[in-house]
Amino acid sequence: MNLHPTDLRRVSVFQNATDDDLSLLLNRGILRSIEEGEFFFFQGDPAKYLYILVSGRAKLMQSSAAGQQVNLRTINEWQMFGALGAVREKEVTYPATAQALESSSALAIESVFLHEMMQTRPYLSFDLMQLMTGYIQEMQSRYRELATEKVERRIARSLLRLTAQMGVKNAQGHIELAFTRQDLAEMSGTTLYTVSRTLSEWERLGLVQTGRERVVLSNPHGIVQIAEELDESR
Amino acid sequence: MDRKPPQLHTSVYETLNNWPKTAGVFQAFKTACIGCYLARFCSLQDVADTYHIQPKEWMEEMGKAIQDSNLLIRSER
Repeated sequence: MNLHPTDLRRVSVFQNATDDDLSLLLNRGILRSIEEGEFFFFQGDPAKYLYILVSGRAKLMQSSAAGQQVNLRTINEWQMFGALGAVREKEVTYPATAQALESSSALAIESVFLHEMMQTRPYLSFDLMQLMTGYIQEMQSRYRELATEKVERRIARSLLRLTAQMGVKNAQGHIELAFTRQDLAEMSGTTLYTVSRTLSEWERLGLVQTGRERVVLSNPHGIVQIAEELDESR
Repeated sequence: MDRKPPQLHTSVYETLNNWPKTAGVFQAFKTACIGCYLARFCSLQDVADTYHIQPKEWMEEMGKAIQDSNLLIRSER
């Protein structure tokens, strides 16, 4: 795969970078390609590299001591992940595992290198802060949903969040997205059984059409009504 | 230079991004479009269909909101 330094400007953290800085980053990067189901890094590994997904799709997940897994987020092309090591001063480990959802390639850059660049380039710190505050806001919303909302509403919100991240319009003009029910269960803090039961009910109501590892939103507004508890009878 | 105004096929995301003043129109018609995860996927036509809004009236109100904001920008120059 041939990468050009300006390709890196598609990464939100590098959107304001100079061409020279992008060349510097690309020259220090190592391209790693892995197959579906393989891992870029594991939770607890030393966070020596940060990654930029160049092609494919990956997920970040965290495991509890008892072995239960939670999906934190899906990583799409040109998103940065595993950058904790570039920010923290002391030796740090990855808080999550990164697994490829399909054949994927990512550019690995030494955390310490970005850390050094940040000392003299305020734009890097600002743009990284933008990324981090976005994550924090998302996590706060998810925490609030877990603590206060009914499961059907949580599933609807997770589905909409996934749609915003990776939905595509198909030839019929319907929004389609690929994910597993297990992913949706982990994102919504519920069980596979509950997700399956809820999706079947929504299918019966004509809100979605489900297939193997994919969902078509036949009535997207219906899902919004559930997620936001909209009362439009006014 | 003024942008070409939004059409029925323009997405909600584009409309709100390019003409922020139209937010008031989305609110006046009691839609839930502002801040919606699906703003990128829905066109103004989709919104009109969903909320049973007359497309002509919908686009006229959009046009008025945009014109008002253009006038405001010109008067500030």
